[in-house]
Amino acid sequence: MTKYAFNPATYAPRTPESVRAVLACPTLSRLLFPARIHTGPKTSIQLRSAMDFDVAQVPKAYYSSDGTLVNIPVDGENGIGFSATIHLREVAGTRFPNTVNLDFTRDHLDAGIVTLADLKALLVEVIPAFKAEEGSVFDLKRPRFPHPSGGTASEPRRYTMNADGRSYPISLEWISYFGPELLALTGRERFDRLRTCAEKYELHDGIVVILQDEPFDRTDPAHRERLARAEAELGLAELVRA
Amino acid sequence: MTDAKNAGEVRSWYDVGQSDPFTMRYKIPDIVAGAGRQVRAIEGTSFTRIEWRVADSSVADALQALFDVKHLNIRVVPYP
Repeated sequence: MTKYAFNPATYAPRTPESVRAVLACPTLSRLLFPARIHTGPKTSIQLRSAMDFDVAQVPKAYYSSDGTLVNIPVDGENGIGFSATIHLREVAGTRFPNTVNLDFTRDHLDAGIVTLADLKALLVEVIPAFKAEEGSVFDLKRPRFPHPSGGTASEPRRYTMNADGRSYPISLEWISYFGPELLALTGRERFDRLRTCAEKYELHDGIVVILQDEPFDRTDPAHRERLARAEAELGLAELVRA
Repeated sequence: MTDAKNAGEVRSWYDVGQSDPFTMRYKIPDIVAGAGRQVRAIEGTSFTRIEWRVADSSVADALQALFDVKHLNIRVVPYP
């Protein structure tokens, strides 16, 4: 079963308390709740809405042992999952993006539990609530290719980097939001060349690209061909930095 | 930079393919924090990327998916 992630990210400082504002976004809330936070192997707290989310109830075990981050998972009773990874302090010379994920499956899409309209609404609501600089919806299962090790490895995301050492994913996905910070790296004008897509529109001072209406599947050759054509039109390969 | 992980089988420490409470509570925060330390460590060095090698391909796929959603530029390669 193909899994998908709605995955906005930001380098803006975020706190665990800020997660509640994301959970309160109407579309995310409708898709996720009722939900649970597991507090132990057999114990959990039920959340009927974002109002029930209390940072004080997040177990210490959700904090990394070095104290640099917290990963807060919330499990929806319908199988949709949410997690937020919040970096608690800047480490010398480096910053890492805070991320939120809403995970769902192809079954949710096929059953109409999650729709394309929902995903577009998530961008409208979550991007400002999380101060996200970019975000995408993508399928987590990536095809494998031969690797010099002799085996095969799944295709990794590609990244670019700004002068401050901040790394941003540069791969085009099923749905991609390029915020102002990322557009400053890519240039807006390259999006004028993009023809291979279902939709392209401005949102929150950034640009949204929806590659196709039907769920994107990277293992589908026709979908991959469409993706390759779109990425070639955008010239994204020239921006990739290790 | 190549890092060989002791992740030869499902249910090992680096198997994040399950969403059980132990994985979500203990493993993911520390794996993500440790990966972040590696990303930080190669900054300003001649290393251009990080590659984790794990023996089990399903463990590798789950780790790669984790790094993808956490925006960590690490490639995970099955290395049986």
